[in-house]
Amino acid sequence: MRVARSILVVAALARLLVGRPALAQAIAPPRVVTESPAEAPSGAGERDVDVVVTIDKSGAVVDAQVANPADAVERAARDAATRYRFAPATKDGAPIVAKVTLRIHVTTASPPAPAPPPPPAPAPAPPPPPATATAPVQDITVAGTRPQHSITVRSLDRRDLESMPGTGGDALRVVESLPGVARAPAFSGLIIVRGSAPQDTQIFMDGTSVPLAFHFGGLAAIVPTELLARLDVYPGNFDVAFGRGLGGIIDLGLRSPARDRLHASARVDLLDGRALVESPIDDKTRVLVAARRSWFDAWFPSVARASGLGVTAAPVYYDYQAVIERDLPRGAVLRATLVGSDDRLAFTLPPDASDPAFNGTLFNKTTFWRSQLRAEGPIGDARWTATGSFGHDTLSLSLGNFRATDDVWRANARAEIDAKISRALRLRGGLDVEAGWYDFDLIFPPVPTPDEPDIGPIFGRPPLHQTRSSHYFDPAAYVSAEIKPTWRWRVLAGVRADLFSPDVPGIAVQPRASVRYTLVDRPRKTLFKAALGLFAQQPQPFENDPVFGTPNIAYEQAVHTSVGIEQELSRNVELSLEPFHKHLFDLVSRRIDPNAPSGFRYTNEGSGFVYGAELLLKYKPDARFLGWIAYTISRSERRALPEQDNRIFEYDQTHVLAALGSLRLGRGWEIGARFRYVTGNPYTPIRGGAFDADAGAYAAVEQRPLYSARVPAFYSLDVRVEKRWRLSEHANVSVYLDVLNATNRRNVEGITGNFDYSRTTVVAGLPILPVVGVRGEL
Amino acid sequence: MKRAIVVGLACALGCASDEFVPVSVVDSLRVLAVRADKPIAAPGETVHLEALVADPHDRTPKMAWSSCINPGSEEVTACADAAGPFALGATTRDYTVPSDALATRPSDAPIGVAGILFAACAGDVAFERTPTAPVRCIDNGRDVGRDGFMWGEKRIIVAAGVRNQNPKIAEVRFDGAAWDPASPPMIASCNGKTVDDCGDVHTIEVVATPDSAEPYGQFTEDLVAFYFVSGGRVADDFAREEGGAFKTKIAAAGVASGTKVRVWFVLRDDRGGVDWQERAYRVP
Repeated sequence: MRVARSILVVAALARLLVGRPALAQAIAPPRVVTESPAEAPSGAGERDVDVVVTIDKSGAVVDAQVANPADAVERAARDAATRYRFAPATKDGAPIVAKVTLRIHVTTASPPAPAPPPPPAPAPAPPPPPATATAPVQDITVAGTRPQHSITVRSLDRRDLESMPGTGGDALRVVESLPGVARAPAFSGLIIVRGSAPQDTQIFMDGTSVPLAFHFGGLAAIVPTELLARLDVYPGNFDVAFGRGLGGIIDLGLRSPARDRLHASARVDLLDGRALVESPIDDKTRVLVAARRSWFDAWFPSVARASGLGVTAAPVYYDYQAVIERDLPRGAVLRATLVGSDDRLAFTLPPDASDPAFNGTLFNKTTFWRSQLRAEGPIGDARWTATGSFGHDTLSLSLGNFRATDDVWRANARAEIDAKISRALRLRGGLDVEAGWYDFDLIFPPVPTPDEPDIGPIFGRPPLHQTRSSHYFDPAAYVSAEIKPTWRWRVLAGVRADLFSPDVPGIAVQPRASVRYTLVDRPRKTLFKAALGLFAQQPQPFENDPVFGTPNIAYEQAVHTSVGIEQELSRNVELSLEPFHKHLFDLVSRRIDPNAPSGFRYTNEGSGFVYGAELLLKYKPDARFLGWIAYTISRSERRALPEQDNRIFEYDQTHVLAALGSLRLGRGWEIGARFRYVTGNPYTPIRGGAFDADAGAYAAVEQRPLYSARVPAFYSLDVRVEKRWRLSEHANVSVYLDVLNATNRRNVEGITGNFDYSRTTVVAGLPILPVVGVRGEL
Repeated sequence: MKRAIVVGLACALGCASDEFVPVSVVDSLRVLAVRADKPIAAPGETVHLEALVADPHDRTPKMAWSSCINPGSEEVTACADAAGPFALGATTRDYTVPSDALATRPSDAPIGVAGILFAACAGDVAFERTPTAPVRCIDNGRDVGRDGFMWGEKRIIVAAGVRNQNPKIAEVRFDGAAWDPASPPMIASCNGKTVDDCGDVHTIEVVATPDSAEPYGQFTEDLVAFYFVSGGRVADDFAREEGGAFKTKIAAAGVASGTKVRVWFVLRDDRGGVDWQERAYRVP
């Protein structure tokens, strides 16, 4: 049984009606729905062949051309291409005829050879052959991205990211609508994946880690959606190429600049304004520059004052991006990227009787920039990727005598080679090195961990002080093998080794494996999958600090286990179900130690578990509609010390449901809605108050065990309407209205009390919030 | 601390705190402050403590005291768990720091904490723990509620060779002039709930002595003035220094005619030091 592997490459040719898929809001490329194997006669050779195919409005291939039709291998590729089915290209939502270059991998049949494929026909392609024949493994790669090596990845493309209601067009807010992702507390900007702590999930941009996902308060992602080609979410059991985390991975993929001509776009809404310009420089080089600046601070304080709200300032943020890309010989691509973000907030905290320390002006400034150089290309049957990045992060936070400043210079280097050894075996190996040096200054009293009761007001507590300059060097190496003994099976086995230096002892060796078994390929694919892996994460910086923590504590670990089934229900509808389990151990916790400066000794005695299941029913985007229903049921618990009982995880949410969709009505209209239901977050009820005579405020007397109650469940309906006008062949303008919490439900975010905790009340979340925006494209 | 962060951030867009009586309004038995003549004391030293007790019903509460040494946690309840038995006392108490208070502290950072627990009860003190307090307050066989019972902790930092003087209130002013305790000013009543609702609004301020904010290490003490009233309203429950004084506004919101309203000013530093003064105004 032979396997064919296809690669779809979208090339901006002169006569191509499908433009730059990344920028064109009006034009969307065709998408492969059904592949067909390509086999050349025995001895003809095996290689990739480019086939120029013409796809009609129904998605059928009406013409296929190769450079040398006399060549048997190219002829086999051409014949297979005629049997492909596509979701057609669209322009302003309407199907159009498109011509694309399809790269098909042609294999060589071995005796006994199956029947040769039928000759090509100019008419729409016949139904695909039965699955018991040379059924292919569907494996689509878009130029510039990696093949997927993780057992589960939720991928969102531009259409998903920009059209989703309730997100204001912000890519990262769509993540909360995916299975396995919890609803973050209001204004937090946190990302909580499969019951993991927020700091356990990492954010990457084209393989380089970045310190933030959102601008301050979760208002907007650090990268505008217009710059993204894709957003991949790995909820767990991710590939050996990723490490240093126990939770999930979010990888933002920046798109390539336009190849055909100059393009520009601008967008304004209630929060910010952004602009983007991109253009080819020559036939091999292209560049993109973009910037965004908030103006929330310009209007919100006056509106807030007029409305009687207690805020005197709003955050200010801006971000910027630049990408330059050049084609190199033999199919290689070189890309240089610069991204940066700046958040500032001067916020006068309202006098709060619960702690005089939290009064006065809070200054917060967080900035970072990253420059990245990335190159990739083929070497024979192998593909190599090399990435180097360099950047700078700063954090500055102050309130009264308390302050925290952190200044970090970071460098990261990645190199990977992915080689085909045989028909059934691919090997991949890589290096992933992070290094940097930092200056750190922190003045703050010791704070409780989530496992400990609230310590009450901190005014009057002697602070700890630490100033330190040091460096870090965290090298990692990984290898993996992809084994495909038959077309049904795909086995990935690999190992990663991390060294977390200089303060964390030991080398974390992390074996991981996954298997995918295709039970049925046609007409509707049924696939089973399973994965098991070990993951490691270094302690948080303050946990192994000599003053605030304990030096030389070890890394944390987790075992991820998951099984699943993916079932195509129709050409556009697929269902996936994935139960999962995580066993967490060697988690950093602490014991009381009067000899320690902080009064605590940090150890690796913590543990926990997460189990649950994720369900995703997805309608694959077509010319008119996209949407999905995502449901997660889970339970997450922790135990700080072996002698203690388990407690519920502070972000545990038993049920998370998101149902959303977006429909193009025609004439430039698009509407969408999103409904969410989430179990209320845990909290610790308060029984009363005790007066702290040094702070002049009361400390809550909390009920035991911690987190023994939940706030009411969260419900929200968001709706979106967009109207697009086509001003000319190259110019569009659109106006959208995104109404968050359209029913104005007063969801409960937390419980608070009066000054002595003799009475309690709820803290409500955002009321109805309409976001209006205007977008123009050239 | 968690609550302060949650409320502070959530209230950025407005939160419903209007329904609660502010902390500055003394509508129940309260201990407003506890002053130690030595906020930082050495092992073996005796510290004299005094409690500022306020009661809108002019009751004479019973006071009970206990103490803990190096309880191992910053929580008030941690001290209550580690404390010895309570004993009845007065609004003042002398406490002697154990001579071995620093024996278990690290030699390079010999600082300890002595927690002084106190309870004020408008009934009779019963020496038995409850889920919310280390003692009970009973009147006619029933637990006295919030109106007549509270408890808390005052910490003494234990260190040798370190001192912290209490801040000192140099002057209390009413509309910029010295507020004579023997001559209560007049403030007209109004029907509103807050200072902003009233027409007859006055400025009150606390002036600290120049040496109240002591330097220590790389820091200077953070001073905060707290305001308490037996009726009416103040604009701020507490304030930091501005232009050499700690200012806020006061009004007789909701106060009946002919009432004498007591006003307490409590000045704190962030190392356990405290001072207070009391004044009054009348409503014609």
